[in-house]
Amino acid sequence: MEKIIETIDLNYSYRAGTSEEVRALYDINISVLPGEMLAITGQNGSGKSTLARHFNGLLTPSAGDVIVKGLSTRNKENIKEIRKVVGMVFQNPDNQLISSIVEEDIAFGPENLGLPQSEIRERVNWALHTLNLEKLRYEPPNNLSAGQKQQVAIAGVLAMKPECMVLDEPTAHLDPRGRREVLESSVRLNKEEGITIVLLTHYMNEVIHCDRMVIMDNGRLEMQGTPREIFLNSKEVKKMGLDLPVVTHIAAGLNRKGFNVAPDLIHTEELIDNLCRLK
Amino acid sequence: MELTKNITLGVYLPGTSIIHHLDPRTKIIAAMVLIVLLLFSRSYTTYSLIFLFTAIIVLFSGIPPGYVVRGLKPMLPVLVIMWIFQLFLFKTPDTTILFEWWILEATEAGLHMANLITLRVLFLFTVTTLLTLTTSVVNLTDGLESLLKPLRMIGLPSQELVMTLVIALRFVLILAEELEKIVKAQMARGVAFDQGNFIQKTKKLFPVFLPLFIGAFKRAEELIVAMESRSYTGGKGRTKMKTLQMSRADLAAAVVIVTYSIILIYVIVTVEPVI
Amino acid sequence: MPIEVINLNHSYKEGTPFEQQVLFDINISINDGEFIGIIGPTRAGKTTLAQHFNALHIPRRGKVIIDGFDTTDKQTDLVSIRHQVGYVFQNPDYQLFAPTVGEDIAFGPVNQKLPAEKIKERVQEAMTQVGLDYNTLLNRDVFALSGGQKRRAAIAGVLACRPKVLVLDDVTAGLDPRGREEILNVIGELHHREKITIIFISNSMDEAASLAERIIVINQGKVIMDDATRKVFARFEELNSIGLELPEAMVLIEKLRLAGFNLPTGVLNVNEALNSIIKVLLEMEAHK
Repeated sequence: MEKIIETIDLNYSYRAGTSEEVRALYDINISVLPGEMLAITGQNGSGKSTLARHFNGLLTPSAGDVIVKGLSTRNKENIKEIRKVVGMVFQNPDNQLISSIVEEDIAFGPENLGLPQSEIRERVNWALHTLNLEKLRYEPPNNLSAGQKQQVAIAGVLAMKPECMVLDEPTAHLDPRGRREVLESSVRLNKEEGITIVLLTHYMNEVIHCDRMVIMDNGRLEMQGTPREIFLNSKEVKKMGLDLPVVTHIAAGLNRKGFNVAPDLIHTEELIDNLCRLK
Repeated sequence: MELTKNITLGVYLPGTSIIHHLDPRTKIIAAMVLIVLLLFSRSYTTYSLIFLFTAIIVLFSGIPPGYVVRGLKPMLPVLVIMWIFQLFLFKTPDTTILFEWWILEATEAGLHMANLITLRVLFLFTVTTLLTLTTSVVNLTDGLESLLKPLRMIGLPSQELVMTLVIALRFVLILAEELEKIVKAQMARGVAFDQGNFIQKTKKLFPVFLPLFIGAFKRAEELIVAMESRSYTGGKGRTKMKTLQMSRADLAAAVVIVTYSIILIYVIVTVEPVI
Repeated sequence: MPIEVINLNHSYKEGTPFEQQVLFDINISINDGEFIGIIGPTRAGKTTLAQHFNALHIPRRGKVIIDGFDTTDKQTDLVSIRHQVGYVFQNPDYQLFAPTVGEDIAFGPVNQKLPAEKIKERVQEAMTQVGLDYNTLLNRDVFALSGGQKRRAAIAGVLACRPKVLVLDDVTAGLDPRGREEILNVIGELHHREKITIIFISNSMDEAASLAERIIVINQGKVIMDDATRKVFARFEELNSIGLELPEAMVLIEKLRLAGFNLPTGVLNVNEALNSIIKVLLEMEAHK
């Protein structure tokens, strides 16, 4: 299977070559596979955002390489093509919306691609429909909740029809409802539209919906696997400053007490099934 | 504590009036014509006509007249200072002296000049406010972009300039809200912004502007990254989702503006200026 | 330092076409030493209400009486009220402005015109209270702090005014799990050890449920519940219907109850949930 994104011994330093050089990434080797939903997690300052910014060439490696669909981000001529493949949504929705009307903002990306008018209109309608934003079409972003703004930002990237969407902590500034809605949108885009999703987050109840996860700590890739495998290793996860999902916490607690409950549960339904079997 | 309450310039008041439905290009050109005429108006008769016409526009736009007037309020101190300056400083050789105060003398010519300039600024502001009150930001900038397009030939980066304006207008409200939060955070720690003399008050503003600027720079940086990610590389090669279209109402508006201009030019030429 | 809110109404942009009423007939009394959580959906009016508690908003209709002083009364010293009712904003970047941590925390006491050694004492005490090391961080550049440290510095800046009441407006937003835990510990300590009245505004039901003793629920500008935490969360269906996300542990327990497990309602956090499940499983085993 061809990888969408692959990093090869990626190293990065901010202000490289100056006396204020700060090392941010150490020897990262990671692949993003087509159609998967990958979570990148880790404490603030662990380097996950820096890593994500390499995925569409916003940053270029100090050493090593990043390959997107066979194209190196080190080659400036590839950047335009790479950004068509990998779209990016950022943490603060206020700082990524450009226009004062929702549909105009969603049109911004396709307009930059120089598409014909009718196709822009089509794509905007499709993006609005896919994210259930039709009602907000003519609203100014300032009237929307943070969660809605973030959905608009996602729609704006979706309208560019990327194969892969990198979401850089899209839920960090949202209330729990907005967070759930953005997560649901991401899962839907992945499952129904087949878009590869890379989700940066430190909410474990978001991570459990991903196919695979990696944990970063101090600029290094420390753990890699399915959420189920990784959360089984609760001590390591906590050492990196992260929580366990609620279900895993309870399942592990019951397991320790000697009840016949699997310790690697992550979803509520699994726990209910397990407990029902004990009846 | 509400800083954004009395700001009307740059605010759009959604509506369904004829004025709202006009093509933005019509409104921009009309506003420009009105402003140019203002610059040549030097008699109270012309200003009465301008007042009448502006009042009619307000009436047709469905905007509460009180709200338009409220928007002038923040300008009042500046206008008063300007009026006083003109009153004492503007002189013609043959003017009569109205009264003297200390080493200053107020002349009749000064009084007229002060009045005219104040009226001019007031109407200038009202006309611009009316334009933004009845035209959404998106329409306004689309109109500007379309009007400025011919200037690309002489090397003016019109699309980029308009994009800058689009972003500026989007962030005005965000920054105003942010300023309000910062001011409140300072008040919460015991700063009394309404106490003290001018210098003390100004000094108190420093801690407010620092976080505001830092915040604005951070936003700008993030915005650039977001725009870059969405393949923005300047105006070149960009297409637009919408194109503007003139309607019959625009033709009617053009007729009204031209008629009005002719009347006003006639008055300007025939009625003797007060100064 | 009791706070009494009487028939409070509030509108934004009053007198303009954009006028919008955001608070309707609010009546609340806050007593000394309470830990109150204010919860409600986004834009319910939580922040607007809370900014009346320290006279950042002055009521036009209704009254707010703080320690016996009416904030609408021209004679009331609002600056002194704002020192006694501290307010910590969601985003520390709005509050922090001085070049160093020490100078920023000293800002309030300097405004109070305290003598230099008193200011130093206050700064040192406030930093200790929030767990920022005085010796290493006093002269640290504010912008070199981590997200969690910035929040703590912002809280210290308010504590240095020696408030009797502390309003915390969504102070954990955007922090990672460790940063959140640290802040919540600091807040718990301030309440238990320093006996400061805490008014905790939060979007997170998990946090409000695990910390607050009393919960006020605001929806569309009205107080719809005001009761002991457990009693408020027992009405989880109503909370859910106004768009609030319930604590995860609580949702889990409710699902298990639906699946036929005889678990108690009103479970507020993960550990309570674990313990109640263990209890039920043990009972079931004993039955067999």
